[in-house]
Amino acid sequence: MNITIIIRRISMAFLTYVVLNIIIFILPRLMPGNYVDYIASSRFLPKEAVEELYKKFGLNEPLYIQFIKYLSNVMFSIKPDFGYSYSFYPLKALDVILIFMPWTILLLTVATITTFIFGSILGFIAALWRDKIVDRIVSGFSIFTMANPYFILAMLLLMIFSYYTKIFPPGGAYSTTVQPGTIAFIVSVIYHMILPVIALTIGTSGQYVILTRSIIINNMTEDYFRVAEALGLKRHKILFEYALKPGILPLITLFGIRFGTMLSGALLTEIVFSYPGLGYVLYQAILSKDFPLIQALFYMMSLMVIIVSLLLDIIYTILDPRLRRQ
Amino acid sequence: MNIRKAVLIIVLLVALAFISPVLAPYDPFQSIAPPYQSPSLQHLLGTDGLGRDIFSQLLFGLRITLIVSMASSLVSLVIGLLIGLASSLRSIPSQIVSALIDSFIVIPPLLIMIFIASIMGPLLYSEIIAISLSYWPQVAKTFRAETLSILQRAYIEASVAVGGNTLWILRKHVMRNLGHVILANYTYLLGVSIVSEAVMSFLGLADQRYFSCGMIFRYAFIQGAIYYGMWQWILAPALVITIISYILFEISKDILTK
Repeated sequence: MNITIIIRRISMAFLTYVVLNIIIFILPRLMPGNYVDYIASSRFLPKEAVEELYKKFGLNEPLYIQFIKYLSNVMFSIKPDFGYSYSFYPLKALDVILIFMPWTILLLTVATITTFIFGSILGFIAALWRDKIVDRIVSGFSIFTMANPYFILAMLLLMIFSYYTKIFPPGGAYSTTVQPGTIAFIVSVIYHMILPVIALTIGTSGQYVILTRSIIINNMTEDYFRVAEALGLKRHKILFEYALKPGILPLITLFGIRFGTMLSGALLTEIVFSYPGLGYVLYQAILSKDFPLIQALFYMMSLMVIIVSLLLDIIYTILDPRLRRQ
Repeated sequence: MNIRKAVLIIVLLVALAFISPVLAPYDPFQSIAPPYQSPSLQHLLGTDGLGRDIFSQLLFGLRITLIVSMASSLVSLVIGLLIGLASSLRSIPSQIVSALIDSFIVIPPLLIMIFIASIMGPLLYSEIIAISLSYWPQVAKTFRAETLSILQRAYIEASVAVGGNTLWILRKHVMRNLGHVILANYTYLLGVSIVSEAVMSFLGLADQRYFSCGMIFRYAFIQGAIYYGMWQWILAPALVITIISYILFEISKDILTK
């Protein structure tokens, strides 16, 4: 039955959520010393201040009490509480993230669509001229982008299009001279988004191209493909109907796996373009050793990945006719 | 043939890690020239914002990058291999381990890496631990798949029939058939770790006392290489690490698809 598969997917996602929380709870406590010691040693705090910090973070309490508090404050709480952020002080860590998250989501949504189009076309081209020179170039280029830290392309694009030719702005998400809510503002947002999206698309589509190619090639060896060929249908029609279309379903699940990479890429790209999203928050948090904020970022971004891949899994089970019929 | 190529490239990289700092013409930490110089014969890649020779930084950086990535790929290979083997047996604990791998793999490695490195502070060994603890699920997954397919074979059944116990089968049959998978995974991990090291250094999570290839990007970004138009400052280290990891990825793919 369809429902059992969906229930299994949901329980799997919940297990991931549990693992995530275990990492967040245990790892900082497993390490020699904790973040309070770390802050204390790097800022030469007096002993009283260190004790006060210990009390504030509840680190002098027994482990099981800390765990129970963690369960109620974070794991089973609708609005998880990671405490105050150091670098954005009067704000709670989670609120900082919620303020900056829309920009990242915007960037990711656009980049996901462009990657889907760009990656499918390149994968299709590579599969079409399999083992020919075009395929070699496309596949080689894809692996080359996988071997490339995402921020390098962003830096080079910025240098070419913003420093040398001055076609695009050097960074930010919109120009400060326009009023939010006007058409000029939307145009400015789109204009500022072009370079980050290009960097993200080229930087993260490598694996996607390779997998699309192998899925299509795999479909081309199926019997129904040969039958269609034998029937004498037009070549582009066969390729589209019998090679690409059955490949769309696996590509959807693939996107669930790819989402984590896209998110990581978006973080680094945002830093280079000083785009006011989660990448910027992360950079600030690392710079000022803002531990609550790093914890909250890790939590929220992993949660995003878990939810997206769960949703895609469910969509997949609903869309796949084979699973529907069972 | 591919296996020989993989071993050769790993030996070459080790040699490179030993030799490269010796070739460096200057001390990478010493200011020896005016800042932001273009490439010249004295300074092949120019100088950075503090007047330090970028070419020497790259040569010194290569050693740290290679040490970090080799150590971390080794650790994550061992973790992944053990967990992968443990998850491929037909028992309830194995099922649990297996489910743990599947749930761990969802969390992006970069996030785990950043989290661990920021807990432990910017030190060389914390970088190694952070990288190695974030890539083991993928390794474990490939080992699980491979072990399961080996366990299906006829000689395993024969071995069970004559009374071989699980550990013996794992050691004598499975491990001996995993050789090429181990090598392929190691080369893959090496490539991934080189890129990860660059990312961590760029984010400021690496040890500031050493130069690594990634550290050069960090300085290039902070000191504004983009707005001085110093393309070689970014492109040279980028090409070095990209080409190394590209070769590693290709070899790893070739070993597995053969």
